[in-house]
Amino acid sequence: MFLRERIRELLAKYPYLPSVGPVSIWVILFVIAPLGVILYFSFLTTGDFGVILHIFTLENYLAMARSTVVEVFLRTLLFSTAISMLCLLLGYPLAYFIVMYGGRWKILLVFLVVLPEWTSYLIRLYALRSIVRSGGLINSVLLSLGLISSPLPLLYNPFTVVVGLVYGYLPLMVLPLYASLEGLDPSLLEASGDLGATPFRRFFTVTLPLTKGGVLAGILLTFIPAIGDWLVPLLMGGPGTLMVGNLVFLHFIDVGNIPAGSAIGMALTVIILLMLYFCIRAGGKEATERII
Amino acid sequence: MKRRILAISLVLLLAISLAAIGCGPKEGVEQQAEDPYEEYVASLPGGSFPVSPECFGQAIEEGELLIYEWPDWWPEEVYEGFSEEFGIKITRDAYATAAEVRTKFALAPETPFDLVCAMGIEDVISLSKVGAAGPINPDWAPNVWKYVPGKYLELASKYSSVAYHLFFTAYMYNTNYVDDPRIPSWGVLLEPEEQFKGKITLLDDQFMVVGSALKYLGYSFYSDNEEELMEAEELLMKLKPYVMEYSTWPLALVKEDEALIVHMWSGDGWFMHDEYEAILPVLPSEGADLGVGLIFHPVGSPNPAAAHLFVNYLFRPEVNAFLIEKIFYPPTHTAVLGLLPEELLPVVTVPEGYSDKCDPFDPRGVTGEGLKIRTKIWEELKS
Repeated sequence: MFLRERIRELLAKYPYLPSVGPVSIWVILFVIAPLGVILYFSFLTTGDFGVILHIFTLENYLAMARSTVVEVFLRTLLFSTAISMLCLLLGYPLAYFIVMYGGRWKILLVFLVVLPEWTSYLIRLYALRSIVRSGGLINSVLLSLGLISSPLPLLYNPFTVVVGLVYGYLPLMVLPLYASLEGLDPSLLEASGDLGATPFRRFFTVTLPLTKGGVLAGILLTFIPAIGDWLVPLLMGGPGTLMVGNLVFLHFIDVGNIPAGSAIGMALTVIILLMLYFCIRAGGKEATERII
Repeated sequence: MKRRILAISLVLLLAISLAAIGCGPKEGVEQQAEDPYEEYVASLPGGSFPVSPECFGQAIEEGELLIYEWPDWWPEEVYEGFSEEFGIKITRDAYATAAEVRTKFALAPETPFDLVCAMGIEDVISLSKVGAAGPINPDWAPNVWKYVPGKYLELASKYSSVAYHLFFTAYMYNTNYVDDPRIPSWGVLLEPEEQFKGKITLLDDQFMVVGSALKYLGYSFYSDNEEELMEAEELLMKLKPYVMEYSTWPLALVKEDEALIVHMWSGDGWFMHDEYEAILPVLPSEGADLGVGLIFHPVGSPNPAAAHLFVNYLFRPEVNAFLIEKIFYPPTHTAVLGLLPEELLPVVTVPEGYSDKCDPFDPRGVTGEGLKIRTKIWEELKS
């Protein structure tokens, strides 16, 4: 009886509780709890042969100040930012073209953008690898045309890693931009034209500000997976292309130092959360909706 | 008259039927009485020893075997032959590196696999330290105790592991492109000629990479001396521009002539030579490590009897010879060399005196300060 009254009181006080309850349980179970475990591991010590000792230490975090680790973090941030920007530069015109000139083919064009996602990421990367390798399609064509005398070293360098990541995540930029541009009121564009704005000015003063949410959502949706990616550097990168994801892998798997890997993973999570916070703050409700 | 003939026919038919019924069950009882264990023992080829009746019965009852292995390595015939003979279904899962296995079991020591194939000594020590080692019963694998030398048998009791081959960390080169008078020195791989920039792969294993550099410099493969390790680091950092990839299985790159000098284990080198003749493995003149390939029996094994039955099957001389013929590593099985084709013997026999130049496993390299320094070197190399 008492419990029922108590629940009734709680519901009266917090009427949104039944709707957020299941979501909260989900988030607690599958986001907060695993993160809590990783956080706990990150403060533990590793003994010989990878045995985890329940001795608390800050060493795993202090070790991240090493120049090698800092360099990997900076490189990852640089790569991820470059990838987001390149995706934006390629994705915006593409989305704009589909919305403005796609006509009755619009849905088909969007479908074609999404189509590669139906194939495994790993298989797509191997396909890309076979195109850019020494004896691959690009080098074979250039050699047969006589434009080069020996194969270009297109694989195993930072450039290929960036290309691979852009190739992998471009659809994640195009889709929110498409949704944003599709929701744009054409009368606003007409009005700006009627008031004498050049197409260039119209784009920067009307179209771009009105699709800011889509842009920020696209940046986030490409930046977050890119910053944690380890497969592209592994398959297409050579020395000097290690990213934070690979560093986590290196500590977890190669070295068997799970606490050190957990600490790096936590640092990566903090960076992603900060990025998410700033983007949502800048993009407001629309950016949040587009991400979801 | 007709009635009489009909009656006689019916009586005869009845008599024949009764006789048939009388004989039938007797034969059936005899068939059922034939013991599957005795049948198994009787069918064993010469030189093979049976598992205990208890193990055999339990294994048949278990009916399944879960193996965690390196993909596409052991010949299918080994698994098929076992399943066909005993009616035990084998389910196989694959891992990419031994380090992956170590992490899996460190997080969950009771991971339900019956056998983990292709482990090294440092792997099984690590697996035992995290409490993942299950018991091995000598009566359940008599072929192992009959044919494996005593010095390897202690690994079974200490680390739940059965040694089935020896290995050396070595390298191989493409004979169409590499013609270096220093062959077979480690120098060909570790201080390569300028033209091989971006044409070298190193094993994706920090112990093997750092160990090989140490050996080239004249130190122990498992050294934990800081100065020696720093010297090895300097050598490896100079090698960085020459390295295209860290990989334990760069067969595709080798076949496409992309990787021309490849850091590899000896047997795998011969395996690749079998696939692509231009690539030739060599044992480095300065020596290497002397490793043992092991089959590990985890504590979480849901089918321990089937696991033992399989290991015992694998150590039948002719089955083990077939395995060695396909994986190209020197066997630990003492009766196998005589069963192998003559042309294979130089590949699977350790050259006289070579073992003396090599370092058997020493925990110094993979524990304490040694491990810390090696990890830092590995980070620097890969970043």
